[in-house]
Amino acid sequence: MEPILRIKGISKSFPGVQALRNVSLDIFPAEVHGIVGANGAGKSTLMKVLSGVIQPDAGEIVWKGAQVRFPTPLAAQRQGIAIIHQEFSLVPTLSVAENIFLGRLAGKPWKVSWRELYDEASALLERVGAKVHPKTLVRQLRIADMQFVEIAKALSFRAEIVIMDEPSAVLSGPELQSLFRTIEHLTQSGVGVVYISHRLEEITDICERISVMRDGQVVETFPRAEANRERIIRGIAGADIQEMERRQESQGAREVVLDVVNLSLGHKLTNIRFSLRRGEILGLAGLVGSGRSEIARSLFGLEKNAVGEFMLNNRRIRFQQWSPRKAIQHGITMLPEDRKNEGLLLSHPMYMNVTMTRLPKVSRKGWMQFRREILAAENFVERLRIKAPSVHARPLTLSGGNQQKVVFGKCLFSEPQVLILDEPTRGVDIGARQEIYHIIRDLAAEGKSILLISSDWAELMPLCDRIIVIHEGKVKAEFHAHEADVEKIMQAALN
Amino acid sequence: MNATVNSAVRERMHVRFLLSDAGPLLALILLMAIGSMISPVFLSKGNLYNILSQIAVLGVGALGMTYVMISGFFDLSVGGVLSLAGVLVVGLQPSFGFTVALLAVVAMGVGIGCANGLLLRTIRGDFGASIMITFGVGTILAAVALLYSNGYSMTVQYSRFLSWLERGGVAGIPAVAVVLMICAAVLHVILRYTVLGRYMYLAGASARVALSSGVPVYTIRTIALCMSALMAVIGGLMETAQTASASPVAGVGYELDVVAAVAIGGTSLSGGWGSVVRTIVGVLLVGVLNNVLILVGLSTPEQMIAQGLIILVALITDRQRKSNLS
Ligand SMILES: Nc1ncnc2c1ncn2[C@@H]1O[C@H](COP(=O)(O)OP(=O)(O)OP(=O)(O)O)[C@@H](O)[C@H]1O
Ligand SMILES: [Mg+2]
Repeated sequence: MEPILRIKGISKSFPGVQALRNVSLDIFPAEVHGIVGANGAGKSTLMKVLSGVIQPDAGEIVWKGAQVRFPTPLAAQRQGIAIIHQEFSLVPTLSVAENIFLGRLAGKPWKVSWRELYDEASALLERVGAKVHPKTLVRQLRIADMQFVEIAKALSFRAEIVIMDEPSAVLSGPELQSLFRTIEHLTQSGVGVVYISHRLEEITDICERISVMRDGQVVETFPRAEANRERIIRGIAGADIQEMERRQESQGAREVVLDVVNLSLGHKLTNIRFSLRRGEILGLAGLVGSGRSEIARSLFGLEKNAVGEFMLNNRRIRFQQWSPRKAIQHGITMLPEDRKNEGLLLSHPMYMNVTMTRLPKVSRKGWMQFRREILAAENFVERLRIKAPSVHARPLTLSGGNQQKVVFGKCLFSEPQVLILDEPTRGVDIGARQEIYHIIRDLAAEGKSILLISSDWAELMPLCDRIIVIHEGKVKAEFHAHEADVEKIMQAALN
Repeated sequence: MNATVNSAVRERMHVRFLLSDAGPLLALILLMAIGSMISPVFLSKGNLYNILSQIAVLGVGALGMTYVMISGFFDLSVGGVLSLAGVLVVGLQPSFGFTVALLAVVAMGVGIGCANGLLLRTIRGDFGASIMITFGVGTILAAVALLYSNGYSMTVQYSRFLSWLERGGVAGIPAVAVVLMICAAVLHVILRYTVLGRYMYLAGASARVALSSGVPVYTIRTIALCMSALMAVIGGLMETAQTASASPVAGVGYELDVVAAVAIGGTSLSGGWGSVVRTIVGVLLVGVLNNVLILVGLSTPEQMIAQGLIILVALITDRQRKSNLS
């Protein structure tokens, strides 16, 4: 079969970084082509070149045998290339349906035919397995639902190639299954899919061919038959990676640090109670919309309507009077799920982002100590292996996984006693993941308590002491880590 | 070959960045060069003295507005504050003495800033809300100034401080400009070197991110609004001293002149970026432009057209700088 898309010798550089060097790649119709690589390897950049978002410095794109240029994303869409970006591009103040058909609303120029619009949107949403109403504003959606809207939007172009840049980073269990079903439908109807992910199980499960990128180059491409975890990891990292082992039985009973007596939030959470001990890593599992993130946000004072109370170091605290500022002052910090809107100042230098949670640490009597600030930020860049030209770089110019590491660094900087992590490894590559796991464990060993939310259930089990499963806003089940497995969690999460 | 293409691209970006970033300063230098060529009077001591005393009122207001805009708000009450400060200080002086009158208007300034801030905090207001709330407050203040003075200008009894403001000076620099420079230095140091200053930038860059990082966003913005009202009070005192009378309509249109000067200097309208130095450049640019236009004999409407054009250019380059960055 002829490749539908050929990429030949593409190079692209940004100030101070060579993001792509001489990349060549063939994409065939009806195949799922997996692309893996460390954070900053150039995956997203390559996809942006293919979809007309950025222009390459050199090289050519051959589409169905003819050389083409995509000066704008629209040009690529017209040819039949749709992309789901790693960073969402939805308009928060518009409805789901309007976002899907942005710029292509059905009807006449002077009159939108809303009925048609909503019907088509519903059909698309159903096809991708999303449970969102087309009239909902995107602002009100959860991250995972936004992901489905992005997928529906890409499908609406009736493209011949769909590029998915880390679509699964925020999905788990049944949501993941519906993503895979969507991909299967696509390939059955002859559409080629380019699939980027840091979860290697998925890659070996669904991709027919796999390309590995490292430092801006495609280092190898091989069929699934030749793929195995070790080979892929070696390709990504250029070396073997020691993967984490399951946590040993935790060390005796320690005192309770955080005790949620009761927590309710509208119809999203009812009577949640659980406790967190010193030095404990507690996992929160559940489906999208089960209320995991709401629990985290309530504990951090971000949910204004949360009612109930909790004990923090034996002090009674009411949720209504809680705020992020008070939380941080009392030693609770949260890593938010939505890094773009709540985590990072995308166009301010990285060091400002890192230190903002606790400026007193880099100031004296109200005066900033810039040297200390830069050193502190550089320390994190090194520790978390953030790939950036310097601490003055703006997060906007970093790759997705590296942005995530900056958010993680920012939370660590406040030296919390209780650390709430909502998807801490979202989009982080396999090597850096191990690094983050180690840091989390070290923190626990130092006596810090950690509440961990992850849609990657396979990472909860080795990391946590205990896992509680949330279902429709209630605590459904509780497991000790050594007795938990994905099956059990899935069962409890589904009902 | 690739490498050379890249470095050329980088070079060009660098030049473009420099142009838009240092644009206001370059424009100022250019304007001064033109001024000195067109008119021999331009660089004379007397004319420079004039420029400095004419920009002072605008300048102090712009300093305060810089804080408000960096922290993500707008303050349209400064015109009202300026008018009211003028008539109050003149009105209170006969019965209570100048010092008490001065303290009273300073307290009023801080009070108005706090009121603006508290109102906005209560409604969890955003940028748009700050425009409406401070506009409302400013309108009320302007009305109070009219009521207090019965609509007439009030004649000043010069105290020592006011007459120093009017014709005093240090080393040939007019007193009002000295005050402006002191304010600028203090505000610059706070903004650039203190935790408070950093908080201003963080609050303006993204209120949501700042709030969830423990930054007391509304407190910071309230401080900025107080700063701005205080600066408008100082502006009111200068204006009163310079015109020998306190007019209840002295501040009409002041707020927009101030915003324009800040924006011309290159401080971002959307918050999170900017500096006192930029604002001073913006104020000088406005001042020198008006002066040059007068020297070549243009009339007020033509000055207004020129000023309008500059504002447009400033905003367009601001937008371009942003798109260059991303
Ligand atoms: N707009 C930009 N300006 C400057 N540098 C950039 C820009 N976009 C990307 N880069 C740099 O290009 C390199 C490749 O980034 P890219 O986003 O392609 O990585 P990635 O493989 O998608 O990583 P991740 O797995 O973290 O998403 C990184 O070093 C990044 O910092
Ligand atoms: Mg990426």
